[in-house]
Amino acid sequence: MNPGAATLAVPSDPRLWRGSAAAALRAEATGHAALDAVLPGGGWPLGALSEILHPHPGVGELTLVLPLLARLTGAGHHAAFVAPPCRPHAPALAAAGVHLPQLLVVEPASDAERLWAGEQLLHAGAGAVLLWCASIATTALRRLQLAAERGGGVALLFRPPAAEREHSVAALRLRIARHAGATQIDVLKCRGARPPGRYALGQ
Amino acid sequence: MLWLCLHLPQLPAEAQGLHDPLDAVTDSRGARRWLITAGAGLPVGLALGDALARCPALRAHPRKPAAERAALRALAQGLYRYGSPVATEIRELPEPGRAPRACVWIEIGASLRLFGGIESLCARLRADLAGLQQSAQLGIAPTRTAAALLACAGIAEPVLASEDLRARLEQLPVSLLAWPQAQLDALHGVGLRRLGDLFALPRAGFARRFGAEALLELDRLRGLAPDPVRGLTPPPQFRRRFDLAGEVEQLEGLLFPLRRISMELQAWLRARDTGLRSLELCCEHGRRRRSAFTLRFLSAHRDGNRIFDALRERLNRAPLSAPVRALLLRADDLGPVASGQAELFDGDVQRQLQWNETVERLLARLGESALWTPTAVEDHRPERACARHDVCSGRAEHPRSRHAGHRSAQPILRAHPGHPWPDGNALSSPRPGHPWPGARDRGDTWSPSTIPRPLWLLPQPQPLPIVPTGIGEPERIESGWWDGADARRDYHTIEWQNACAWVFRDHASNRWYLHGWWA
Repeated sequence: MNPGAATLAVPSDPRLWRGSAAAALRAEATGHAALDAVLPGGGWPLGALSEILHPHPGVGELTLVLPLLARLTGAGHHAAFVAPPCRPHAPALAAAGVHLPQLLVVEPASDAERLWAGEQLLHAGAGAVLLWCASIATTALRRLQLAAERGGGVALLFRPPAAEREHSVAALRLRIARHAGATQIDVLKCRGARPPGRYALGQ
Repeated sequence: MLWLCLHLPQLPAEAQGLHDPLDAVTDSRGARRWLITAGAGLPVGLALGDALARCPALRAHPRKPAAERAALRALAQGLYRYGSPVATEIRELPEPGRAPRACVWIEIGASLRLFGGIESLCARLRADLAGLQQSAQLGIAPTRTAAALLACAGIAEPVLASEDLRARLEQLPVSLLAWPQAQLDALHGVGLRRLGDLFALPRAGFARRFGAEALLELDRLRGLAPDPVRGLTPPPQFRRRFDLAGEVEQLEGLLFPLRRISMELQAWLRARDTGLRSLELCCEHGRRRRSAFTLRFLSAHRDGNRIFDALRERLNRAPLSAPVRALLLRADDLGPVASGQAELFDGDVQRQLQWNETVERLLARLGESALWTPTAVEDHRPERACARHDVCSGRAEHPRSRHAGHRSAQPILRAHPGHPWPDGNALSSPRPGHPWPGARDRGDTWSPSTIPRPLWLLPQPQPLPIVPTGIGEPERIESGWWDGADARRDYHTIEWQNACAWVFRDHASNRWYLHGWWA
């Protein structure tokens, strides 16, 4: 048996455990078909922390989560923006189908209070919590992850791209950027599968 | 009738918030001072000088009868749910060496079935008292005075039947009676040591020698004479003042009284069958200074833990401005409680309750201005099209003008021949037969929300450092000439700094501003 044939035979061997065949994750569809198709579970992981790395506001980060917000608030779940960088514009949200009374905007003064507020809201069973935080310690990340596990909602943490080099407990890490008028998404990490690559928003 | 009596031997200390064994409360008469609460291994009634000789570390506090009465009343209100009537009394025994007797009576004969028997009722009551950190001795008997006597003697075993009462009372020592010391000494002198000895005496002779009052009390003990009692009714408003033992500088020192007041408030709300919408807490500092705040709840409720959580977070937010001497809590804003009992298999009510609690905690800690819900307002000026809706009071706050209601901002747009509407805009292609602006005049349900708008809006437009070039057709917004906030702007969408920006050129100043991001 030559070595080439052996390497070809290995992937089909049933005794070999492959990461892509991990247990099914509970997830909520992102509403973007191309992204849903590659993410394990088919969307944002439920009861887990997801990170979205983006350089500054206005690169399409909200468009990415709008279908999720519209679906959750429409179903009577609560969603919260904690420490957003700008003011969420109500007419645009309403036009996207977000049920505004279910939406809460929290503007804490300090970083510690942001994390505390995010954790409390996740704990209380919010459908989705969107949290903006530039610097965050690993222990705080863990606390958020635990709160999300307890509440069963989608925890979305928005961070600057420099955070890519830091270790993270998040189940899903996306990097979103805008090049030449188009928004591109890189999946950096996703629990339960190998990071699949780059996608353009709106496909 | 079956009376449950709670005797509160430590009430003088507990009413002042003293829980350390080294804190003792003293009563005085002339120059004599003696202990009226036990602690540090010293018995009640010991002269203060002797007590200090035995235990130099002892801290003596004078009695505060008003605080004792308030604490007793508050406790009685808390126990209102166990039966009716509820009565309270502090019986003063002013001779040196004797402590006052503070008692709460509850008639529980009618509520035994509701609570599932006397054991279960007592277990619940003890759990309640433990939650209030209130020490008490229980006595249960068919008459009020007998129940008090059993409680003072520390005999928790209940006497349920009137027939057993006499046999049990006969064994009790005469010294338990709250009679003047001289009278007790006289009884002791003639060899009458037990109540049974007194019952055996001829009635006429006993009345002549010790007074008709004493005979009446003996009759009431056995249930031979009527014993009228004035029952307590919970007041229509909740006011609770808590005097602290000293000046408290740290929040931790306030947590215990706050928890206690919260639990009392819960009991009062239950007794009145109502819910709390908001409360006011006032902290009294030295030199007659006060600081107060109001806490509002999202829905009327009667959960003591929820009240305590909100109070704690609110106090956590800002450090105490000065040491606190007393707390005063007022609850006037009441409303019916939405019952969460109907939906047995539906978790929605529970989930909503939990959410409300959390939002209240956030409100308390971060302040009411830090939480809001966005609301769309029909106005063409983008900064006015989004209102902050106050989470707490349910009122919408207009971004600039508070007096402006939702409909006062009339949507008015003027189409300029030189500025056609950009493509993709809902206004650019009016339906046939409904040309703009005639469509509005005929009551068409057009609204500004049909125009695409960016998701992020800057709180204030920021001057743009560049002048955009190669831009397409603008969206013109010209509005507000009637309310003093005139805006005449041409909006464009540009790619700037690798993001999609929403910028405008202001007609008045001819400058460029950044107003939002298409996120």
